[in-house]
Amino acid sequence: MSNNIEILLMVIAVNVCVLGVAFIALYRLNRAADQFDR
Amino acid sequence: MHLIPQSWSHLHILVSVFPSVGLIFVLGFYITALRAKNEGMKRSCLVFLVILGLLAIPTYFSGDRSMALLSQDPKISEHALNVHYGWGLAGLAVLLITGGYALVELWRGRAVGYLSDQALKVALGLAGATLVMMIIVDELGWEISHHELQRVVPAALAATATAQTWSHVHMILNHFPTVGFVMALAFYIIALVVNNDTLKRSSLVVFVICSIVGVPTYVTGAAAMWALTVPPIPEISKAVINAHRDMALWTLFGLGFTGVAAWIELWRYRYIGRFSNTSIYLILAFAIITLGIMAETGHRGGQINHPEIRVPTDVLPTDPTAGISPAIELLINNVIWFVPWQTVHFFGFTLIFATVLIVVLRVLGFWKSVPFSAVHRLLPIGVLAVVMNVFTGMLMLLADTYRYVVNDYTFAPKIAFIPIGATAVLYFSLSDRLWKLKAGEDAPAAAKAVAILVLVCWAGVIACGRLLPYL
Repeated sequence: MSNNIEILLMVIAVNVCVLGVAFIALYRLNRAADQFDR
Repeated sequence: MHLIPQSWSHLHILVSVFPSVGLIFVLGFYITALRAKNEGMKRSCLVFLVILGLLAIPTYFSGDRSMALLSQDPKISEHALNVHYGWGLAGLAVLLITGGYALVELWRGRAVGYLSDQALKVALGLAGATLVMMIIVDELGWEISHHELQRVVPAALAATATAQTWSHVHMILNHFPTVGFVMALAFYIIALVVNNDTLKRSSLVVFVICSIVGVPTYVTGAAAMWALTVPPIPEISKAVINAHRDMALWTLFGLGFTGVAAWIELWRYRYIGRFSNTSIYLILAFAIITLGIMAETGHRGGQINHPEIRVPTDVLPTDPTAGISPAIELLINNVIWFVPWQTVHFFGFTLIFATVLIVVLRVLGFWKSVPFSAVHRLLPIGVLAVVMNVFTGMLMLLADTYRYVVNDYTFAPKIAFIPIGATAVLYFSLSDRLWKLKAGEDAPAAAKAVAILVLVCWAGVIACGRLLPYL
């Protein structure tokens, strides 16, 4: 049972980290383009 | 590192890839220069044709000297050497003529102040003919020492053996990111020195293309590893392959950083209309570091099956379990590591497909009230998702490379669809005609054809990936 919880926690941790970094990168890129968009 | 050749064979292997694979990249830049009518870029391409022509000299002498040495080896076929030599002489003659013609045109253009369109087309035709000759010569050259490509596996072991086609495809593919990076870096430095934006953009595109090709190169390398080790070939060591594989992993990261940074700069250029100095020099630094890593990867790859380039000071690895790749294989086989990265992989392909679907449907005529520039803003989501999936896909591949590349029938088409789809997506970020597509306007027919290709490729990637456990 604890193994299942460990897997779930790892899934949450890895996905939050990777998708979080991707979100921040996209947000910054988008903001930079906003200043010059037509 | 022994990047400075210490034998004629080593020099021949290094120098001979430039008049063939290098020429493909010079031709790409040359055709872009002709289409963009960019004088500076045309001159740069002619200079590179002259340089490639000059490489005929070291290619001939190193080939002649290595032939003298290799003809004493009983394992090397005299006939294969002679056929390669004959075609090689013809190929080098055409290469010299192309280089000489480019030099004459440069000289004439300097005297009269412009380059003749007719002469530029003749140079293009000559370069094309040289490329055809060089492809034949290279193919014949490989047959000299790569006897594993003709290996016949005993019937009893055939079920577990991997097709040597993988080794052949890997040997062809791995020259594209390496030589491509050398050529792109050379053109990029010229572009920075002469401040030519078209040349900068073209070089950035080549960095991105080389990064895309890095994916099938890495995967075919994993398949080639199994083709060379199961059943084992006595003179090929798994430990030496692992040393090459570890460096290839770093190369994949280097290609990822350089490719993404180059693509982001191309994307930003659309909005800002100029390049950011910080980004431009950051990409230069990434490219130089990646090229260094790739050179070492290539050298280690050469050591697998080219005993003639080894020197007495070379200490080859002997432990097949040492290195990063076997360690990752061990770790990722644990479910607690595999499942989280697999989940990221699934998020990645939903993001890729969502981005692709929106952009493709706009190009095909849906939501005409939206200008193309609006959907262009979404492209970074797809690109970052591709990076996520290359990284997670590589981790999942390491969990059981044999199963994926040897046993699963849908893995090869999946990997073939990725570079085709990714290169086609590059068209959406670069096309001037699409960028100018206003609300209410219909996309050109060529763009619609690319859109359908992109949709088919990415749908193919997902479908083939899902079928992996079953076929």
